[in-house]
Amino acid sequence: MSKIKLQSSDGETFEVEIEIAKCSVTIKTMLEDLGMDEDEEEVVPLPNVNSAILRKVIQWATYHKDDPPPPEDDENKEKRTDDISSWDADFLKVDQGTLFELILAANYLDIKGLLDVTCKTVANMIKGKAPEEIRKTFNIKNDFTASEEEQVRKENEWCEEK
Amino acid sequence: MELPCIENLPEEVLEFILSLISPYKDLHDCMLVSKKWKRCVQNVVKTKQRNLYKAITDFDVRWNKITPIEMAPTITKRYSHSAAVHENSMYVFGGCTCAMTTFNDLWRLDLSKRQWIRPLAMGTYPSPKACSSLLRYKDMLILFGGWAYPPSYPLYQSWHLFDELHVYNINANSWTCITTGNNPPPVAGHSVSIIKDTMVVFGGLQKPNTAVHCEKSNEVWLLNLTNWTWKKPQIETGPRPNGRFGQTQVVLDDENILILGGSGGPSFYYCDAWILNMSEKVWRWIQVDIKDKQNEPTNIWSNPGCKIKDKIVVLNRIRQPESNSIAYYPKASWNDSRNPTEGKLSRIDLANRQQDKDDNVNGKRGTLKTPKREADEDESGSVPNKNVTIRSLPSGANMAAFNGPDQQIRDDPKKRFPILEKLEKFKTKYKSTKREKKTHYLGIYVLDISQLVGKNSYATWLPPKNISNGPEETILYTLVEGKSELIMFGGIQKEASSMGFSTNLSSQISNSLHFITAPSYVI
Repeated sequence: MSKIKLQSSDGETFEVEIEIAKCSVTIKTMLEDLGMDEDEEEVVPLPNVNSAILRKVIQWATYHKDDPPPPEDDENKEKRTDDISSWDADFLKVDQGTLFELILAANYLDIKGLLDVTCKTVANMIKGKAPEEIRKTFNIKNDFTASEEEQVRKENEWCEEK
Repeated sequence: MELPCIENLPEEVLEFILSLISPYKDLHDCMLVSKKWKRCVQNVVKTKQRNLYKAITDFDVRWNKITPIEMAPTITKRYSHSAAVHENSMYVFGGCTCAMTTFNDLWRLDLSKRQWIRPLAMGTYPSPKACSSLLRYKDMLILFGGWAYPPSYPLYQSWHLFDELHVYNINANSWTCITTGNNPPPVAGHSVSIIKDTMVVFGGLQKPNTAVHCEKSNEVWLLNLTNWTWKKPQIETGPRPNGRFGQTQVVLDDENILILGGSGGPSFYYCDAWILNMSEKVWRWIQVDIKDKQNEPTNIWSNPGCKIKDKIVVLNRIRQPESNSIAYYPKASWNDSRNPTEGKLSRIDLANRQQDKDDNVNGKRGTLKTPKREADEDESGSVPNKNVTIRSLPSGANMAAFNGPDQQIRDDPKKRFPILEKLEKFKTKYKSTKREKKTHYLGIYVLDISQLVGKNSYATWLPPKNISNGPEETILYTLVEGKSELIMFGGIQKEASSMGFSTNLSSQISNSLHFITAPSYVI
């Protein structure tokens, strides 16, 4: 199995199987566009991902390397957030900083499966919470004035545009 | 370096996260978090609305079914009920069972949690009834009209139409009965819309005091919702829709209402559409030119339509591939097979109507089974039971002539009555053919009403593209628009209801919820 070297923002290199690296659409396109020869000792620089996060991403991709490709159009499948596998749930038992770094990395590397599962985890943290609890959970500053907030409370965002 | 937080996520990622949140209360709460979140929620809402609209025009929808979980408090199976959406809830009132027992209960479906709640309202309750109209106006639900069958005894009472007007105040959880002067005659199966502060009522079944039979109305009545007074508008003479019930009525804009389909009586169904124009002092009816009728659904009277922007969605039996060609589906042959359900609004043999076998009818627990019914089942199930009657003829009273050598033949009823044997064979055959019936499924049909304004106005039935199967063919359910979804509830399975020999009729009435949504999208 041919391998490839990935270099994190802080200079650490990781040797991974090329098939695993290719679950990132960004890396896959990069390899194809640049015509990187698999035999060469090329190093792919990933300036947006640090070593700690890259290690986690590789761990996730290695575990999921044999997953069937996600169906293009999953018939009758409701968008659910309670279908996170137990391995993924354990894998994502991390602090918020790491979780958001993983989301950013998954977004940058274009790994749909990882982005899906991390975003679902965040969605589950939001569900059922009052606005104030959400702000507290994620340390968000309320930039509404009291009267603006009251106005938004009455708003119906679902009114049909005419 | 500072650790990233949710505020560092690009807006498209935050929007993706928010798109995973239930579009009801949870999403509204997210809008209150910060200005950025509000902006993202608004984008999510726009995308969801666009996706549903696109899914409908592409006929590419997803059906998700929720069957109530056992033991949880849940709404009884029913059909011909009424439904309305207010904020994060869908309210369902009344309707009836397979035995036409009508309800006057009100249920609330929490659309965020997908949970049924029965608010125990205060005030003056409406009568138990079906085919009423229920519309939301501000924080109120306006309930008008409807019908009910009288109790089984005394026999052959005529059924009852209502002119009751009730208002359910959502915040106060209470019903108020409104008495009005100059009100329209009792009516059921009418259609209603609210424009500004006026409720427009059209058509329905009416029964004038002197008449024996019902009349299909084409009258328009207006209820002023600020002072609760009724009046009849002035309408230009000229062509107007025929009297009908069960039609779909939608608001096009502040000056125009559209009515579509409806029934004029047994085997008499309309597929036409009319605009009621209210821009002048004297209103007028304009018949709508409908194009591409080969794509039109066969039934728009017991299948309510729902307006999504400039489209009307109607659920209907999915056409079989062979009838999907240009060949027009003959309506007459299709109508024949559905006669049994028409009993609903025509005459019914009250003495022999079915028993409610559903659990929890009107709050009762357990299965209602009467000895009479079991006797009926035995009788129809096994012919030899007839022996009982035959043998129990007082033997002493037998005339001598019958005590001959053919006594044995007489004791075997099958030989004595060869017709019984034939009947039994026929019955078995009949039963088995009935069971082989093809199952039909519901799919969406779409009427494009974007070209209804202007001089050469017309509407077009869109050619179906993708076929996505819904539930088994059902009628007399409710279909309302939720947030980025259509909600179908209850109803009666039409095909099944024509099976004379079925014993468990309650299973053909539904309390399932079906959510019609767009396919999930990715960023």
